[in-house]
Amino acid sequence: MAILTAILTHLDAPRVEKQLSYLRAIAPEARFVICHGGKRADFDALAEPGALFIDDPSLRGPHFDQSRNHTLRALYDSCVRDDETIELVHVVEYDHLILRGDFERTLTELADRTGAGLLAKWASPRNDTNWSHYLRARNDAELADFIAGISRRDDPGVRLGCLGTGLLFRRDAFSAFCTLDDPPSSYFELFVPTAVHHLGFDVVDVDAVADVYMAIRWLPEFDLATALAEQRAGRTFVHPFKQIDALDALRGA
Amino acid sequence: MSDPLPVRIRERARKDALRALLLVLGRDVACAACGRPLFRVLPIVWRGQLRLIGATEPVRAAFGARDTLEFRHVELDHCPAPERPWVR
Repeated sequence: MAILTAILTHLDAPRVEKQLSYLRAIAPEARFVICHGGKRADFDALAEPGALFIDDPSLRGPHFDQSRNHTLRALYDSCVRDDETIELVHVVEYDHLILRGDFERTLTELADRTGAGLLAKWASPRNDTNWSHYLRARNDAELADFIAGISRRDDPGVRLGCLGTGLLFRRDAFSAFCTLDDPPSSYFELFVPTAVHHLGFDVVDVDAVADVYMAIRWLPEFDLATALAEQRAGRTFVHPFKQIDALDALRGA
Repeated sequence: MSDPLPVRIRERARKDALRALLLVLGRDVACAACGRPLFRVLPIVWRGQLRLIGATEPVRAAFGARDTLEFRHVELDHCPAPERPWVR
């Protein structure tokens, strides 16, 4: 089962290329694509041929207003739609560090075992929670109308949430999401799992079914020493790890 | 870019005051599923609302019985259970 891993980044060209070099050293068979949501000049300086520039104003505004609609649509149009070999799409932020070269096998087994359309950390319904993004969105009439228009579920009022990195889409769920007609620019940690759920796909919390995301968290950041410790413990992923300049130490460990 | 100094001082004072208030008057709330602490809050009932001052972590809330409101972890990697032996 072929996986495409998309890396969302805003970093300058040398650091993006350093990260790609690290990833291709530990996982030479894996397919990576850069989705650059930063400055145009940084993107233009990239030597990576297949990289995508994401021209979405929401990525350059407040974090909690960020949408992934443009990013995922661009990824779909450029890399997935016409390549039938891609069966899983793995979307990570630049600080979602891959530690093991066999990460694709781990994710493939997880996708096979669960049959989920979307696997993500902390993915679950949020209507009975105090999650701030749910509370912000619960009176959003535009979102409610849109979801009601696409929903195949009995209750169109269900809202899901998840962490925004480490999203693993099955191809059919990714295609269905990316071909939505004029989706609202809602915060992605709520909108992506909610829309996938209402499109009729299962959305599964990775932590409920496996230990592969146990070193992924929102805060605090991992420093090099703790990332190395997680690597020695056999972890596949670590997040958030922002010390791109220190990747050589992890490659050599 | 960080906030201006007066804003940071005001925010710090507000947090310190809340921390002191919770230390004296707060109650620890544990997860009804795993028993681990969720947060320390000051519960206040007012005009049909139960306010949990100091509630910061994402939690699920539901009545477990007619007179019992229960709180549980949203983030399962913090909530040990027999079916999740990898959560410790």
